[in-house]
Amino acid sequence: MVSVALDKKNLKKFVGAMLKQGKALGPVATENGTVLGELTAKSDIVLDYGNFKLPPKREFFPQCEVITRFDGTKVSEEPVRGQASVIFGVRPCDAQALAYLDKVFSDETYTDPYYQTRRDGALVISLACSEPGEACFCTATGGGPGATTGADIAAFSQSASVLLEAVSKKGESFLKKNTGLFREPTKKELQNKKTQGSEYAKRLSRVDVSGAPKALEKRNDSRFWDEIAETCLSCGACTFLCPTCHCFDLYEEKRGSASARIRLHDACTFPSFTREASGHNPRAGKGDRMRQRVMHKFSYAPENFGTVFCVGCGRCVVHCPSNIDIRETIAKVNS
Amino acid sequence: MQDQERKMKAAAKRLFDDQKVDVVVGFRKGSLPNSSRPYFARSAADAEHLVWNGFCTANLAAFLPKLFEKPARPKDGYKPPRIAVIAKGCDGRSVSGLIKENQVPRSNLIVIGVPCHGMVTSNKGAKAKKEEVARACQECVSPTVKDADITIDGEGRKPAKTAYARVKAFAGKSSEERWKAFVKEISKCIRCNACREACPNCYCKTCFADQRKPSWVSPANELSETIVFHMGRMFHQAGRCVECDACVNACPMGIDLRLFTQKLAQDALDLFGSTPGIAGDEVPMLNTFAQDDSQCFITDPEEK
Repeated sequence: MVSVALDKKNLKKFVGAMLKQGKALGPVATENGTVLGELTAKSDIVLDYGNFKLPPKREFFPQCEVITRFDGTKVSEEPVRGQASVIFGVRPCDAQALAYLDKVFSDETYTDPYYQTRRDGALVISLACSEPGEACFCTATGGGPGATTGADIAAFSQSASVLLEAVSKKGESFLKKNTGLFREPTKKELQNKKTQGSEYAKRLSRVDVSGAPKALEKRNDSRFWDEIAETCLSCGACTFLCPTCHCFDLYEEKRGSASARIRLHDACTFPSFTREASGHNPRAGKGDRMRQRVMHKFSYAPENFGTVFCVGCGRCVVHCPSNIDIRETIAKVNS
Repeated sequence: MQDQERKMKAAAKRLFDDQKVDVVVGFRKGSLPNSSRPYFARSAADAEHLVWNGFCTANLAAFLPKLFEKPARPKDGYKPPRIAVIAKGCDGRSVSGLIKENQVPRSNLIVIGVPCHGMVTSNKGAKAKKEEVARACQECVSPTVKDADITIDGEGRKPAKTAYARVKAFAGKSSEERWKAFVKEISKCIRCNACREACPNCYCKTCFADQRKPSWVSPANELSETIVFHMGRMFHQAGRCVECDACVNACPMGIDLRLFTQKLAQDALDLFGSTPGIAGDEVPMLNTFAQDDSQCFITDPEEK
């Protein structure tokens, strides 16, 4: 695959090249920290951030999207709007999560048109990590600071340059189209790429997720889950920030004579999750819902898609108001 | 603080040894560096895990209404649990409110008051940020629970005198500027409900925002709906908010909710002389009225 080097002094031009593709998103500094924001020709992209608070899944599977409208007489499908053409700076864990979401939304038997249109239209450029976050554990879930799964191009920021490596055909054609911006990478740069993150990978916390699917089969005791979920507040911080959570709800809304059908992110931690029309809820307790969350990621997903649906980004660990730690939960499941 | 932790643990253990409680709601060490998290100790052995340090930010009163909630199908001879709660000043103020609102049976609750030194701003995984006392603690007018059943000795933080300087400065701006600032903050919201769930006052069985027949607020995270959700939630805090910042600490998006809820608290004090949870026997502001009650919030809301 094609591998090129971009000198950091040419970053602005690189932004220009991305903008030629259409709407481009990348890491930009704001008063709320580094966010995945829309780029303009003037944007200075940031390369030394930890990770975005909000997962990039939202660019492909928005939290709230109108899918059908009804104007009082006829029903019309809502076209996909505002999708990005290039997304730069997706961390390897989040890129891997996109590969997992592909398994869900681009299934052989059914393809989700909204997700697929956005996915097909966007070039994803991942950016290798250089500094682990407090709760990162990507190496335990099959990833790593320099992993490239899910990306079209993998970028590696080095001292004076960014090494870009094509991962998919789409990525390769973008690099070839913009050869003027790049130069041949030096041997040293290629060598650095190989070792990038290897030191930090040693510092990441270790959790054994491989035994979890089997161990979970035996965790049918509701007391076990009630205890884990004891301090759960039933908010949706963990699921809304999770790069692989993909449950959604359909909601119909009427305003005046017009109505819309809206697809919204749902959270298995919410008490209303799976509440039936009769009012009965098969998962009435937060322990039941915690079980669902953990089973979905570490049992049902391996069964259906051959992999756990956790990429070790640590967002749920950091942002849970009660600090319920999925690493500890898995350790308890295994014990 | 270590001394307080030792005494608090001993008090909790004694309650278990004397068979006076079923649960002690407190804190244990968190999984992240410099963090503590809510913990329910159910035995004297569990009580060993209790901690008391500068990271005990959550308002533990928020767990009480659910712990006391009667099961849908109670077993014969069901008795409500006997619960002890480790309380900072703010937890104590919330407990006092919950008792007055009949959410917590006083007879089954033991309040273990620990004089609070002020908690450190939660860093939510941000690296090596300078540790500083949280704004809520800097502005706290009662860091120590007044009417605790058990009080751990030791000096707490000195109560703050004027808490509303920032709100007053904000209120001095034009309505356009205030609206702009409000919308800017609220637009960060992802509707995860963490603020609501972490708030001791938000114990409604079904929140107005979750009702669908009729649907007062759409669950869609469109700005206008999100504004309605936050306004509704905030107005329900009038005369009840104890300014603990549980909502602020729970919010993953870092929304400065304090600026807005504090305005309600300031109005409660300035217009009705009420500071929720401070005076143990005070009737909650909205449960009473007097002929000379201020009406300016209706007749002249812009009056400064």
